[in-house]
Amino acid sequence: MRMLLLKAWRDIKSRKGQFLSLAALVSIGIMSYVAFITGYLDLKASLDRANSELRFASFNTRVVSAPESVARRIAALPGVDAVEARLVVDTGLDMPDGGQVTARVVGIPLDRTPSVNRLVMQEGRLPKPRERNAVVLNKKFTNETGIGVGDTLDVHTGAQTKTRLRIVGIGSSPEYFYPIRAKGEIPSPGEFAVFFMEQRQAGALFGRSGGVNDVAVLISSSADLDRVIDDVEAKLDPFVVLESVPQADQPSNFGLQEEVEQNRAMADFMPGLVLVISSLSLFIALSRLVQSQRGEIGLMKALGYTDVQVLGHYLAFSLIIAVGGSILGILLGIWAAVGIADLYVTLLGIPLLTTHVYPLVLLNAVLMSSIACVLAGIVPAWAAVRIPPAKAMHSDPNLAVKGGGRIPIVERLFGWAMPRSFTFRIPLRNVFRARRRSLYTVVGIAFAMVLTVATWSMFDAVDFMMTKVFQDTEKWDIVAAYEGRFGSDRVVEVSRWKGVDRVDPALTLPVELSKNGVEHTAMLTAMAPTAAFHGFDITDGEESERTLSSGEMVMAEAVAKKLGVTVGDTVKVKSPYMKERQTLTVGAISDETLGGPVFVSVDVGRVLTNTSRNEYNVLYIFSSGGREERIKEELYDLPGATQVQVKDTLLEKLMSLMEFATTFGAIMLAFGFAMAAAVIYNTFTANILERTREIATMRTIGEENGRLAVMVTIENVLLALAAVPLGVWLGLRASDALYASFSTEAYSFKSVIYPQSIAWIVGINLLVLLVSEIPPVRRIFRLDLAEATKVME
Amino acid sequence: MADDVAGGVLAAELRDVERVYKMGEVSVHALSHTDLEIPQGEFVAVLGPSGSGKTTLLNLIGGIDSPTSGRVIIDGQDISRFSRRQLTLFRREKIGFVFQFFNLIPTLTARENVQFALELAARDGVPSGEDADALLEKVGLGERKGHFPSQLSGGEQQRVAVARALAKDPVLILGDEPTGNLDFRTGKLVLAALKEVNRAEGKTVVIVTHNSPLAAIADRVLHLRDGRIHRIETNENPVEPEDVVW
Repeated sequence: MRMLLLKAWRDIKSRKGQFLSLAALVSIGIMSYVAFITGYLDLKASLDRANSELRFASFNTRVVSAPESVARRIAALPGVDAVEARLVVDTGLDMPDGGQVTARVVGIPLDRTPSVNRLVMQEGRLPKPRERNAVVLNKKFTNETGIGVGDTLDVHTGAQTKTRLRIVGIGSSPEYFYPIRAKGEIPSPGEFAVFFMEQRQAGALFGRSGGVNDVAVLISSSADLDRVIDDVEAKLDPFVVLESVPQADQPSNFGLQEEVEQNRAMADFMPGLVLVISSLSLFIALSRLVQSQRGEIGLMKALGYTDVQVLGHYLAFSLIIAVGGSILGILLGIWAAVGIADLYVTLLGIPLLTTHVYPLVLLNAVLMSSIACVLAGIVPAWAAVRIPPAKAMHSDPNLAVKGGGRIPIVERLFGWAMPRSFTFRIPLRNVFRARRRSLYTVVGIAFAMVLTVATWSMFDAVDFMMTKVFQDTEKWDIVAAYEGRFGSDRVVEVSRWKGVDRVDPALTLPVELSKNGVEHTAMLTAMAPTAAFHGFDITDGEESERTLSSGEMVMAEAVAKKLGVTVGDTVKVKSPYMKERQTLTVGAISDETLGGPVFVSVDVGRVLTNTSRNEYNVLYIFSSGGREERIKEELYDLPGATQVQVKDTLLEKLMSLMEFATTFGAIMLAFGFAMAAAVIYNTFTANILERTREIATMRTIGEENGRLAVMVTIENVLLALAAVPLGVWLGLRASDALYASFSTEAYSFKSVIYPQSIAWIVGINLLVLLVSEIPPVRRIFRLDLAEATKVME
Repeated sequence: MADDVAGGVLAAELRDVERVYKMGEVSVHALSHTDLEIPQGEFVAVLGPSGSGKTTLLNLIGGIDSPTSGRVIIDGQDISRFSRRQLTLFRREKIGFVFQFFNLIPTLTARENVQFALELAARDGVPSGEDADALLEKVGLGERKGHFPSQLSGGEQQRVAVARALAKDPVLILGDEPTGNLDFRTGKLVLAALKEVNRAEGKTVVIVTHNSPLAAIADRVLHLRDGRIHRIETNENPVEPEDVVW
């Protein structure tokens, strides 16, 4: 047995390039498993730790206005652990560059530590009690704008009044780690500033002293969330409850959880894919090894080695690769995991990083790689055992031509079209005649492409989504949201402004949709049926204009799926302005990429808001003449302005804010290409080395090295190109599986790959192929021809 | 063409040829100060024990190895200092090889293996299938031309190798243990094919073998020992391959 181990070791040494690339393949698989799973667990642990230590509210209830004293009454309710009643006001903020963004002012107590939603200070200090206009600014806004401690900013505090706020500290609150105003909104941290200031200062600033409009509640661990919410809403009923948002739906937390979930989907998916591909590549490589060692196998058996010993010998290759790959992969994985977790929490704005080594993850990694490698090795090893010694000691006829020695049918049919020169004819023939080699190569390259296509398509999918959202769906140029509703007179006024081509008003309000016991909170938009600001992608039902005109609703596909409704079904709709639920019919279903909106006509909106005249709180502007920024400022100057966004600016900022997705994608792509390179190297090295004697013979009888290299390259390139359709198809199916696992209520991803991306992938893979060819070809070209041609294969 | 002392045309000529292999700190003298003349049309057998230098001699004549010192002149050309590329072109134009393990290209049929060599010899023109067929007929394989090597017996494969060697119309046909991997009957068929080529077309043939009875078919037999030509035997009446017994 010692001699067999020695043989295994020598075999590995003589094919060290191939074995190193296989070990690298396994180690990349293990590294990606350890790094992504650990990174995900660290991210989740960091978020859980931050939420727990900062006492993140279990839910918030918004009311129109209530006295501060409601907090005491709510605190007395069963199941309530802590309460903070605060004033939360959205308003406009003048930026130093002359532009305007949205600001949210959140009241906090300064005479005591907040019992809910505590701040973690990252710079500066908290304002002192009664310190006028001193605020703590949200960390994310600082990161995006560079505005920091010591700076002052003017916030709109009335129709024509502004107040200068002084930033004394930078901090984060679990409510705003991921600063968005509403669930499903595109994050734009540079456009949304959150200021924390003393509750009484906030009241004074907005003329609402002693009043609150938001109650944050932390429930005890044994309490029933829905019951506590009902109790709190009942208690707040006299103050007009607008909505209650449980922690799961709280915009920042929702956004973060979605990112974490997407991360989990990736952490689950990619290592699995990588390990499957590693195993299959290993299977192919070991099968080729066994075939090339048939003579040695026969000799081993003839000398008296048992089947078990021969089986063990070939499994030893798998285990050596598994162990070598695992050790390296684990070390690299642990190292990468810390970096990945740090990157995640920084990009996602979680202030408390927690990192661990998870022994179970490491154990899983070793088990998975060992099982995968043994499974990959057992079939070829078993094939080796089954060969009778006498037969094994003769060369394998399968290495030559399969199919009963007949000329392949493709060649019989299209042989007339073959080029006459052997430089092209031999490679072309080989593609069809050396079928096993061709199959191994096509499958190997397709595997390599799966990884690169699946990872590259992430970029294309995001680009496709952005294009769809900003060109096909959101057709407006500027959007302005207001607190409080307004009538048609404002629409008329704005439409007369210079540079404004068209104004589409709309009313948005949170509603609760229910059907067959399933409830869903959605943002409802009431609009004119002829409004042009939103492009629908109707997948079922009548076109949007007809649907809205007939008083029916257009529902996002994701919402319809969640509620289990189709066109013609009815749903119950609860608005904050009506006691009774309304029944509405689903008239059309729209494929909405972002969020899960529902749309109704202005007439239906009137019913849901219980008013007799048309009222709106959003203006969608179509403009021309390059006056967008000026119009934006004018829109902010209108009373109650909370957010005005210019689409082009938003798009620009969004692209730069896709940092998380881009970083994640880049890491995945690097893994993908590293693995592809290992697979390609392995495949082509084997392809060429298997033909050592053939190529040496051609050289001996007078073929030139240059032409041989061309012939080998043509064959390999032909096989690589033949693998492209399979690789792209498999890659997109892998992407489908990935996106299915991480498409959420807020984002709906579709696997997309652009032709130019395929061209890049093919180009890069061909480059790897050409580089991979160099070492084995050089080796063959330097061979002692006399020796090489005398060796019996 | 070079002339020998007697005025005949020489196919190969070795002048004080030495081949030394460096193996670590040890120098192995595979061939020592060897002189040899092989006239065109001669059938030469090289005999000797393992390590006597017979394959080295063949490799030097065939241009797949170069001498450490001395001159190797083939068909009037001194190939001793040829570059790799020059040697490749030399092998293509002047030498036909027959290997112990046949070394046919497994994905090409018998006919295509021969056509490949035909194309090599006439790079600018594309050879016709008929040329290859004629060569295969010559070695008695006209009926097997469409078969792949894996479908041919060892003897048939070696005869395809002989046809391939002939395809280039070489000055010299070199065979390194051409029957070493064949049974008695098929071995004789291959020898007969080589002998026929030598006789009918006047091709110079040099074969290396361990098998001394085979030397009986050669015009001259070179006996090598310790890297030197120990003895040269001339067969006044070479026997026919079918009469050889081993």
